Amino acid sequence: MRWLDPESQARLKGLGLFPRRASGLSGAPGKHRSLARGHSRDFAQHRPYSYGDESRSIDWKAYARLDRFYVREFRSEDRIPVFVLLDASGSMAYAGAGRQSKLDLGRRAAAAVAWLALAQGDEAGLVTFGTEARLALPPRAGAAQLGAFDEALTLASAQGETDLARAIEAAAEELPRRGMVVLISDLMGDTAGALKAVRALVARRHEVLVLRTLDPDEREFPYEGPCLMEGLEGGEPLFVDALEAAPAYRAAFARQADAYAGALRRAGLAYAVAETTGHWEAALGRLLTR
Amino acid sequence: MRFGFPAALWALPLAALPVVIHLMSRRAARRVPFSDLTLLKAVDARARPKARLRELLLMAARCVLLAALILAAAAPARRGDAAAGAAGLDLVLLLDASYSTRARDGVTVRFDAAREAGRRLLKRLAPGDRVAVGTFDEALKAPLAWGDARAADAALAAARPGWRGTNAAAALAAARKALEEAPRGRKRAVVVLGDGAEHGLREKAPAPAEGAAVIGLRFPALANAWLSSAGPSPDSSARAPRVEVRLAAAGAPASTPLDLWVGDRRAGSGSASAPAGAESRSALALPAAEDSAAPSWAGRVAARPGALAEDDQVYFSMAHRPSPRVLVLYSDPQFFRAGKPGWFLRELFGGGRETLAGRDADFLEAARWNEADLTKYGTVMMADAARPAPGLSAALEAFAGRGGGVVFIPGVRGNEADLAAFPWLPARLGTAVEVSAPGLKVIREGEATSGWGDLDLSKVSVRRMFLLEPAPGSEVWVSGVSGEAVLVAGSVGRGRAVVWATPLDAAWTNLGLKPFFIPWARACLALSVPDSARDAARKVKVGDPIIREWSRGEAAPDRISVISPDGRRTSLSVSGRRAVLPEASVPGLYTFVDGVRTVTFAANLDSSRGESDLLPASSPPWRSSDVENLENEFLDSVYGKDLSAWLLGLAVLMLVFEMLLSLPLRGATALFIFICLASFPSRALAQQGDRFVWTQLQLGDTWDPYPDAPDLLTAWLGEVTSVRTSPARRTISLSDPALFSSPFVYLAGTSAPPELRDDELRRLRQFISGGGFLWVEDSGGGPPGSFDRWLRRELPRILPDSSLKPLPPDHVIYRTFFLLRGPAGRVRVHGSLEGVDWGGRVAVLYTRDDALGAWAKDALGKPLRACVPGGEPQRELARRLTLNVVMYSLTGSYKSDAVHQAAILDKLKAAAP
Repeated sequence: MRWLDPESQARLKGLGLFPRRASGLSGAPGKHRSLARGHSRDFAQHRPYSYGDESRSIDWKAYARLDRFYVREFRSEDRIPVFVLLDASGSMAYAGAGRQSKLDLGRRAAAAVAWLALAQGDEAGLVTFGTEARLALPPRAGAAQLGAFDEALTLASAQGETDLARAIEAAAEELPRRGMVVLISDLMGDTAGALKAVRALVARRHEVLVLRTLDPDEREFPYEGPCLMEGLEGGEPLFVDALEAAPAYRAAFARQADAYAGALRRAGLAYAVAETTGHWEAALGRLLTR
Repeated sequence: MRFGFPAALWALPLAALPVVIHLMSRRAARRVPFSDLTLLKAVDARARPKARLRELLLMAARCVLLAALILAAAAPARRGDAAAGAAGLDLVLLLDASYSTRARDGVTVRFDAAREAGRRLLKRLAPGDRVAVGTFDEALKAPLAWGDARAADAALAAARPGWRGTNAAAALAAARKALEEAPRGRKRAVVVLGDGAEHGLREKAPAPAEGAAVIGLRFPALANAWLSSAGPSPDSSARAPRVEVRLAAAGAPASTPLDLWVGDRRAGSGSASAPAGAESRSALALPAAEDSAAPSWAGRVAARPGALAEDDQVYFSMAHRPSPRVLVLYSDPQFFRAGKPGWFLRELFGGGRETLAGRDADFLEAARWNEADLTKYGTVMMADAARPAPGLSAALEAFAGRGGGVVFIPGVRGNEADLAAFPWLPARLGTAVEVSAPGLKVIREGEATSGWGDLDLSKVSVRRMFLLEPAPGSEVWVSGVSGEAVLVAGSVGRGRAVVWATPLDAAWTNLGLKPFFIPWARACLALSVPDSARDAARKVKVGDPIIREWSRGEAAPDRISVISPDGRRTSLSVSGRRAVLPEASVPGLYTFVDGVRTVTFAANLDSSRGESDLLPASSPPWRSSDVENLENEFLDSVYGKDLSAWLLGLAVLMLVFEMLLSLPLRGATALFIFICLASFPSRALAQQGDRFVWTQLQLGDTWDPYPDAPDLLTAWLGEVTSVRTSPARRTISLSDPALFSSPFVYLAGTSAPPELRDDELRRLRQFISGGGFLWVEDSGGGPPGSFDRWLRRELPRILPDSSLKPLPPDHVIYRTFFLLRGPAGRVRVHGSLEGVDWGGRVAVLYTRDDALGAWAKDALGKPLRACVPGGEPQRELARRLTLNVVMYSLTGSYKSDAVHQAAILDKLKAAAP
């Protein structure tokens, strides 16, 4: 396992991926409660027999008492596909001095999510989006999928200029089925557009969780003096007097962070911020237990 | 501009250093990789214009600072106007001695102020300097002569203000001439010690001499009003003498009482007002003259003293010729009978009372004409001319020829042949004719007929009249409606005669019965001998000679004495019937006394050129200076001015400016906002709108056992209910004004906080009695500890009348949102919640099972503490209880309403095991 070490596994043990509400997701039998009727040990209801019902589902004891056919129905329990939408745009390649890059952080979080999903019997799939969105790994269950997932993560590389909103929308197009979507991105770019794209994901009835990956430099802007800022996503370098621009930038960044937190919270979506310093596992834990 | 150390100017390009540094710094910018520039670009685009302006201003300030320092190092001095020269200074001092310099600014007379300024100036002169002092008013009083400062000082000290006007141009021309004649190579300066008023510069001043600095004094503008002249008014006559004074004002409108003094007596008073920059006239009635034979008046009119007291009185001396008497000659013995001319004329001339014609008259039969002394009369009126007495026509002609006036009115008994005996009249009288149409027409307009326009001449009818044939050179003044001449006047020798065409008998004309009669009579008399032939007022200007001349008819004495206004007597000799007083030195009345007659002349200030107008000149041909600054201005102009102090000041200013600009703007803005907020702190901070804010009381050391729990709680609250929540909790102390805008307050603790002070108790009591909800929780979760004891000790102090009581199991708090069967928490130790009932609600809730502890999570999102003994289901119940508590604080006993009971009972039954 390249992106998942035993330490993280130990920390994350006990967490699970649970949809908030029993959704109509259909899939192979699993551990998630579904609205559909199916085969499980959870009795749902009696229903008068109608033509076409399997004879083995008839409650013969009830027939004995009531002299009528009743059918026993059980709740369906499904496994659900968990998609990791990993931002692989150029800005994710940013790494502060002596720190891992945001993409690496995203890979680790993605691997952890995949591990958690596979461990509870669900399917895990990976969609990377940068300049173009790609279904890097179709969702599958089983222990073997974790290795494939790891390889797919290794292949993902951060490059290119990205319109965040369009990229998320494109990634949504790539999702083959409804399921749980863990969006891992730095969300740097057009705030309103990104939020709109996330809402569009929700509207497609995915269960969406958003993990924002950040480097402390992006929050604190610790530069001084005249700087020629070069964006990792290309474009014209920007000349700023860092000391002068810093307060306004920090304020704008805080506003943006508040906007994400507030909007996603209002939309009822789980949202957490992981930084390249510190324990990203904590952020993931917060994300999953909300 | 001169420089003491010009070499320093070579460093001037260094002033561009900030620009160079700026450009270099731009080039030396570090390249910094950054993840995404979207946000930074937006921030930069917003801040760019301001930042660029600030950058530019900073750069400019630094450049100016450097330039100012370098220039200051070069020791610059502004060049004086006076040409450079080492040999000394030629200074011309021109002292204005016109009467306007007598004006006072408060208590200081301007002349004294100017003179003292000049004397102070003289003390600053170097030994080799030369001074020429000239005193001037309308002209320079004495030629300019060069001397040393001491002589000049003596000359200034001896100068006195005069009584004449100002002509600064003439004085400047003289100064120019003097300087041009002076040797070259010396500094030159002219200082005008005057009041700097516009009136002194009516003429264009010459350009100053080459290289000469010209400095003049400047005084503040003063509003002034003055009496410009006094003389007989146009309607003044010997019988009704009136003196007219003119009041002028400059700078501000003026209104003043007027006092008329004749001799030593105050003879009358009046008032006058004049708008700014204009003149008004007022007339004052004079008393009757002492000598009616030669009526004359001399005196003064005084106004309220203004800024310049000397021009607020004006002297006058005027005389009228005595009114000429009229001799009325009549021939009809029935002349005075009713309806006859005498009947009307006697009424006209007074009949013993006031005359209506303006003149007195004597009546005499024409046959006895030679008994009268015709020289006593001005006018002879032939009131009903018929056949003349012998010699009468010739006598009248001679009388008129000497300058007398004749009014000729034919009588009813006259006929063409008889009346032909007066061939010298301006009109020949013809036959008597009937006139059909009534009414008269005025042919000529003149002073004699002024005011006739108001009269209805159509009502005056002439039924019969003698046809008049006007002589060449005579004027027809009035005619009948059909054009026949009725009133003709003309010259006879040096005098004049007037002919009226119809007798005044009522049978011939109704003239005598009409109001027109009086103006008619006045006109006839005026046309015969004009009453306006009065003596001119005897006026002179101060400073001019007074000449007394004797006419041929008078006997001229050899010597005459003159009484000046100050009472001095001067004896003058008369030569060639003239006596000349060389100069009226002061304003006032000069009385010339000889044995026979006393003639008074009034000498007044000449304000005709606006000398009394004290408004300062708008663009004087000199550099103006206040009296106090004259020395500095003089030294600056002559010797130049050191500018380094200015430049250093500029440098300091730029330095301060630069420092202000370099300050972080954000700090300044924050300071400003802080000051703004400080003025109304409570309102701005306690704003919460319609959102639920988890407010936690900061009391004691253990007030915050689970910092993360409230966020989770409010998030869940927002998720499962429609309550709008504020994501951030608020922590307050008891003294915080925000307490009263937080209806829900949570207080946790495991150990006892300090005793509450009295003011804290009072605030808590106010909070609770004002509707606040206080949730106190003992987070220890074990047996009662110090916190429990503290609360039970303090609560009676907060709410003396109430006590903690267990809440009943059916209390509404168990069903405000979730249906609960009893208390829950992280631990299950106590059987019930406790609360203080206050006004029908639980105002203070006390829980001991650490309900908030069930919320706490660790960094990975796992529950921080285990719930005992019930495990996770107990945690869920605890979470539900906390939510119920919050909902209770928001909705009160709403869920205890009967309307909810059915649903609640159903649900309870369904859930029953």
